[in-house]
Amino acid sequence: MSTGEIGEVNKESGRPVGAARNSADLKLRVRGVVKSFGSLRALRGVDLDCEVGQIHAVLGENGAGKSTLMSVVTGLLAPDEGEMFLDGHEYRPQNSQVAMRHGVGMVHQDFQLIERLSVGENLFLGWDGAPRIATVQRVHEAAAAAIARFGFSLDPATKVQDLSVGEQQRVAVVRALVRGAKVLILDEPTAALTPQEVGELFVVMRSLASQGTTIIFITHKLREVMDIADHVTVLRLGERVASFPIGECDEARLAREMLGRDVVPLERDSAEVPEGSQVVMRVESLHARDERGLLAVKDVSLQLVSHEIVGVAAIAGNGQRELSEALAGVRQVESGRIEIDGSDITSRSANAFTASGIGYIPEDRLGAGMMLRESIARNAIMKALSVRSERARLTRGFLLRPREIENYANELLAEGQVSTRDAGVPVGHLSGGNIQRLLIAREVRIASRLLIAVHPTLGLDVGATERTWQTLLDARGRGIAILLISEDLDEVLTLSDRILVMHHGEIVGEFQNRTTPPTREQLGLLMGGATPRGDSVGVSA
Amino acid sequence: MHTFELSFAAALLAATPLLLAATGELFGEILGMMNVGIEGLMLMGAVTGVIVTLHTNSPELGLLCGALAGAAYLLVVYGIPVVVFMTEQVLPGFAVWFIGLGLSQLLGNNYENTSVSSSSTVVGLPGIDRIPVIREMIGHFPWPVYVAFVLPFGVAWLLGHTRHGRNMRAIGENPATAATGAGIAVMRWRLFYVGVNGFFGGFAGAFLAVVAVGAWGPDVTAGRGFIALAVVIFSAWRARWLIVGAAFFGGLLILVELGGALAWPIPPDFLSMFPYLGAVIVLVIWSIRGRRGELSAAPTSLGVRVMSRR
Repeated sequence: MSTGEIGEVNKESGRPVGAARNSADLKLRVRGVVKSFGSLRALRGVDLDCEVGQIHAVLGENGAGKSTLMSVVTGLLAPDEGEMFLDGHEYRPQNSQVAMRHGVGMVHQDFQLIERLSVGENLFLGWDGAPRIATVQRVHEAAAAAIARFGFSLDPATKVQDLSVGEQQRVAVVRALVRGAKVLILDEPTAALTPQEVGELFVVMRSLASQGTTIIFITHKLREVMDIADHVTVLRLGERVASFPIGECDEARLAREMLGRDVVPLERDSAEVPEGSQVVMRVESLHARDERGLLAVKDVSLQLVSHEIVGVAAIAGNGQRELSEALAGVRQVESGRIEIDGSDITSRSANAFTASGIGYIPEDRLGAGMMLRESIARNAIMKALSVRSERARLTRGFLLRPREIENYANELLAEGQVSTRDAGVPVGHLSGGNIQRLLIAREVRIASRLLIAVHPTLGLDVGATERTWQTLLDARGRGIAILLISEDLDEVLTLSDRILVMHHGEIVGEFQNRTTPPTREQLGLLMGGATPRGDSVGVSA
Repeated sequence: MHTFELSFAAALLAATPLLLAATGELFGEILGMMNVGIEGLMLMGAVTGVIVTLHTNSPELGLLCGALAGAAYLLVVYGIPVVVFMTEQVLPGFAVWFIGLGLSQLLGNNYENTSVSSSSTVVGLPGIDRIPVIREMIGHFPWPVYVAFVLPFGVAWLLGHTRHGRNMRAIGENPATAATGAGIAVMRWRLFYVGVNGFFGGFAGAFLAVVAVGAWGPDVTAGRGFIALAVVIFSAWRARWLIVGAAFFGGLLILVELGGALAWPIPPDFLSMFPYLGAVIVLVIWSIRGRRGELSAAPTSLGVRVMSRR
């Protein structure tokens, strides 16, 4: 009835094995780890050496084997072959509890916290070292002591759901430290952070490392590796292709090792938004509510012009999702006005928005974007049937024309470089990256006037990201207006002609990215709500 | 006439099986498991309790066996599919109801309308015997009544003041995170509390048949399992409020007898609808208050299919 025997301590692990074989400072040594899932060889004999107090970056694209390797290290997966040593002793964790007892802790990308419990309750949850009987007050006192001991500042009584993303991450870090983590694995820790929060995280990482914690930093962002890591190991297709101290490499070399090729530069047909661009969409003092009935979009006015990419930078939950849905016609508007090509479509149906030439890549691709059990063909024509010209091609009266539909689907498969040519397969059988490419191809095809893209490259690897960016730039070249909503500031800064910053549902800053590009810090401050409206450098709104 | 005192005592007696079953269900629901088949579970406890009592002449043994039978029954019909094979929760809940309905009739066929004596379970509260009025109201009850009304305080303490209780709530909030993030052996915990739920549900049914009614009949529960489900919602998942909810519905349940005794000009069939009508009204009021955020919300994963292997 209690947590019981959640995994016994590995009996063999007390025995020193091959202690003389490695230098005394090696904290974790991984040798020749192989792991296969069916016919897929996810890890093909990977080595990893981490020293005490080292920040060790593990760099690789999606599917390179980073997550699989970390699952092996934390006991979530048993390796097919290979061995691991911790402090020179053989280390073979059967599950994550055993790994934790050996001092190997992980901070997952989604932090794995219980949102409706307090910070203090989360710190001690499921931990044998927590007091058995304690009032919430006592738990919070103990948590406050632990938080202070590791040099953090967090209120233990706050519910996790009321914390910012950066604070939630700190809770997850403290939770691992409280349980005695000496090896701390951070899985893509900067993915959802603002530049300021990334800075704070790096300070924390540096300070922990200086106190002797070994940090394994999983990432695919080259700049962050150069900024914070002492040593980097690069994985590609399940193999370790390089491992060197940070002083011996640069970003270009890391990119080459990670991709196995050079980075393709983006092609942009014109740096400036050309003269004579027309206003495609005009939005006037738009208000919209979220699912909880709270006002999520407040008094937003904007114009989207052909041949222009407008990037929206905002921290998750600041109204950008609701804004994108309202502009795509799938969220009811509280008040305000949306015009496309001069005609008011504010209260028209989502079909009418599509028929007006608005393509929409939603945040929730699997839920809102695709019907997973239906075939690729069915999904491909889902929105095309709302567009008059495409409908003429795909239907005859009430009847669908199967051959044309298949052709149409095959065109999308080719345009999106989806790795199947069989349009009869259910979409759910495709990988996440392939589904996303199909969705992007479908929406780009529909978007004769405007494309609304929400996190278009989230979860894509570097190669697919490059292709998606090029697709967006090509669409811009054809004169389509693009609204790009992304939490990835690199993406916003790379692609946008103009950048809007949203905070608490309002637009709090605007930058002409081609002439007066903002710094990441400027954007980060505005996104965090630091500067009052209209006060920032470069605001022209 | 002691109409008020006797009605009060009758209401508490009627509230007891509701309270026991609702307490069991609360355990399950705190861990995210909704069992809509409490009715069938109570029937299994009832028939087992009566059979054992008739054979052993020990109502205590009958109650215990009814509770254990409930635990075993719920583990097999609900626990294994929902927890081990990770099915959704509604159909196994209906299975608990219907299999219980059929199986209990089959087992109890030869015992129908044979009355059982449970006078040995009645205890007097020391000290209270000498206070008039109060004596009639709460002085002489079978011991399970006192147990049922103290139990929620223990549950509240467990949930609010112990590591164990916090782990329970974490599982109900997010089983996958409780497993991987906090390292709780979620499947084992959930199975255990299916057993606990079954134990109290079976106990409730056994109490109803052996003590409150004093005989087995296939209609002995008469929808009380569903009212117990409503009691849990009424309580907004706060253990001590189970008492208020059970007392409220217990009061509605005795309206039929009260109306008959006092010769109210209301048809008894109409009065017997009241508990169910009350349940619907409570659900509507609570839903409105819940949307306004005035009540603590249900465990986030309540009724949600768990897909974690651990």
